[in-house]
Amino acid sequence: MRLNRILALALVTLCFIAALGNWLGGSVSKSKSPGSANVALINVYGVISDESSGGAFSSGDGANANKLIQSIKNAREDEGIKAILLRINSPGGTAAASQAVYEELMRTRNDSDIKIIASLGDVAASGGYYIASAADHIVANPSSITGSIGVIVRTQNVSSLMDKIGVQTNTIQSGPLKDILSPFRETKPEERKILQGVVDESYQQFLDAIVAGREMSLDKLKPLADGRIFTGTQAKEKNLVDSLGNYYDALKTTAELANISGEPSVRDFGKSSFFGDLGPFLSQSYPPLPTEWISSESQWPRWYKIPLTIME
Amino acid sequence: MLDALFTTFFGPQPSRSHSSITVLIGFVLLSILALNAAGKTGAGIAGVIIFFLLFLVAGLLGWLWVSAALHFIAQLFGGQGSAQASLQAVMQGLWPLMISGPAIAASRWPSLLGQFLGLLLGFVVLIGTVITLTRALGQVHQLHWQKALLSVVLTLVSSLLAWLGLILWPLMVLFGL
Repeated sequence: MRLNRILALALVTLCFIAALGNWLGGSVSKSKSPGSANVALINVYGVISDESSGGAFSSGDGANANKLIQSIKNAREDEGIKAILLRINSPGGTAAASQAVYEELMRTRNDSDIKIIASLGDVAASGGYYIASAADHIVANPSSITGSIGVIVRTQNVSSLMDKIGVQTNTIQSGPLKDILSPFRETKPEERKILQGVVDESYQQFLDAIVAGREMSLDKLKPLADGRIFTGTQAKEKNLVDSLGNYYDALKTTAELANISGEPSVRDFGKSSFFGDLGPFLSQSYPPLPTEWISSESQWPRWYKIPLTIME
Repeated sequence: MLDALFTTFFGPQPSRSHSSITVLIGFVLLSILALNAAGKTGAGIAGVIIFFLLFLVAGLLGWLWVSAALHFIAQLFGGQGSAQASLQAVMQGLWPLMISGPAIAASRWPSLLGQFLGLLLGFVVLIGTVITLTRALGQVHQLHWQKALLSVVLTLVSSLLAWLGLILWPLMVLFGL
């Protein structure tokens, strides 16, 4: 009878462990299983950054770089996907986040047969264009705003205002450059030199990315990369985009480039499933209470704490 | 309880009257099916809980319907078991569905052996469920296995027809009125 007990327990345990494995391995197999869609739609809407998405109660504003990268990876690992259609409507974002997304797209372009097409919406400037430049083909509306190729660091000096309202700031720092970009004093020449070096380096990386993605010479690009913006028509003339049209024109181009016969089947790879959205809600700690949320430093305007941006 | 579970799985059926075994098998089945479904949809822990609750409601409804239909058809064939015994027999007869966990896991192995094993276990689940249901029904209603099998088949057919009717009736009302 002892053996009976062991056998019954073993059978139930085995079945349960296998089911648990099916659940835990679900996301992996899901990403690898060939889906019915042949075009992966990835929306790049809003400011591109690497900020936390904030769980189920997040407002969802902006383009989270990690989510974009995950979507690109999922599309690449899906055997049915022949093309990625990026729908970009973004004024830019941080240099690192834009670069991370660009690199993932270039990896997909180089390591697979998947074609990448970018469709520009209202705005695809700076970081938005950084990402678009990784595409095999860029489609813009004639009046889309694009370009703004450059890097900017902005700081304010509010010391005279602080004096007027009688607020004094004391800083204790480990080194002379620790409070670089402090808004409570004038920027020192040494700091300016460091910041210029960072901007120049980041700018060069931006240019190199466009040169590699667009396969255009640096000499041709440099005059266009002084931070100016272009309409879609102007960008087409300057070879910054390949054709003019709307989203559906971009979809048609996608089908042609990826050799998709008939109507392309599009799946939004950035869209979370209902259960996927609920998953993190219970698997991670609950979000802070509204009062905490309002007072939380992390919810303040975000750009004051990002030193290097390639937007505006 | 483990002895009773073993007897329910593999042996002759003196444990049919154990309602605790019925509840245990029901709980394990729901858990395994919910985990499988959550794995297929890539859901998180919330998904598992939602699937479990969803399957609990759906399972209860299905269990009652199938038991009632089986009991009714078995009675038509001269069955002598009680309604409670039919309920227990159906739940205990569904235990091979537990093997769907290993079957799905095996089919995900990236090899031909895995595919074969998955297919084989899937076949075991399908055939095993029909066999155990037939055996359970035959025992509680003291029916010959052929009559018990016919009861199971007729129940499945009537369930499918009821499901079809459930779809067609609203359509008929929608378009006809």
